Amino acid sequence: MTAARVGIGGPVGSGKTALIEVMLGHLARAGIQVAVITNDLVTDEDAERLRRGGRLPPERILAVQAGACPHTVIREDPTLNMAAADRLDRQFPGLELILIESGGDNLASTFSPDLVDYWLFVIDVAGGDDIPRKKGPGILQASLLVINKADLAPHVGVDFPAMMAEARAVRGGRAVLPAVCRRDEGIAEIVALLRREVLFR
Amino acid sequence: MTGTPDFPGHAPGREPLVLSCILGNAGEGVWQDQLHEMEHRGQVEYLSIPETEAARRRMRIFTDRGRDCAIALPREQQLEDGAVLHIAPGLAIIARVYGGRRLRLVPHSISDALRIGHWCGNLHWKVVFGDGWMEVVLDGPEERYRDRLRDLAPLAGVDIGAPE
Repeated sequence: MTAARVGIGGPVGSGKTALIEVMLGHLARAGIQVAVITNDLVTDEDAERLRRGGRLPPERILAVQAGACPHTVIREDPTLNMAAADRLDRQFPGLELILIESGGDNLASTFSPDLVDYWLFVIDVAGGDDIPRKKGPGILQASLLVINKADLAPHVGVDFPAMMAEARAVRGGRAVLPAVCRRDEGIAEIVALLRREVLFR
Repeated sequence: MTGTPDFPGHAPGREPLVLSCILGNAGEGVWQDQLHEMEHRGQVEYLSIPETEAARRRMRIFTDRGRDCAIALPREQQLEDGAVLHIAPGLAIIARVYGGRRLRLVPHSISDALRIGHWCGNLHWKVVFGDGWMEVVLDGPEERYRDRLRDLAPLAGVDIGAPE
């Protein structure tokens, strides 16, 4: 059985890499074998950040450079990412989960189901409480919507319970979870959902 | 479809039945007699999977009788309608991939067709082509798609309707 492939997308600065960093700790404690693929425009910035974090051996972190709009390599032509995931599967027998981080993109960003089995879309309260109301495909179609930086809500004039309620309403029953990645809040629930939906343990 | 079911038969806390490969297709002759007999004995269960989800290799899903299943296919296999995912004494599990809802777009001219094709491509819609028409596979409320097509109306002539 090859590793489950989970996409993580969302706007620039919403906390995608921060979410991965904190999830890695939870996954390690659960004994789940993980690797990560990062996507950046023309650098390996996010991969380098994860390598510096030291939560995974560096060889388990691969970088893909999109060279263009980030969604092109996770949706229209995901072959670069599929090849990277295949390589990780071959290189690390027993691998259970590959996290594929998209480069920061807009609300229309989605993952191809050819590439991932499940995908998260990360937004944050500082981006504005109207984001769920804007109903971009990323907001509507993601397997799980994560609303990060919940702790900033009072500082940026956001009614967080109302924002959560709107997000749940526009997604028609699909999952929505709050998080504060910086403080490791809400991450256990995200990992529990991934374990249930695609890791099956 | 996925997630916690709201119908009886689900047993919370129980491990899902893991379906780790496609054994064949129910339409193939080699399976037909066996599945036909099992069907009569009430031993065949079905998984309903929308076309928009069929490319996924992993998903948690419940059969029509509420059995909790975990699909985890090899990357080289892909779900198709009739895929046999489990067969054992007393139980067979078969995937039913349904096309879901579609909108058929019929352009009035070649110029209109070019404009519509470019438009739908920009919106990243999943489409199926036919002779003189294109069908958009809906992944959400139909009104969401019609809203976008209303913007196209001044630019291209197109008839919009349900598939025949």
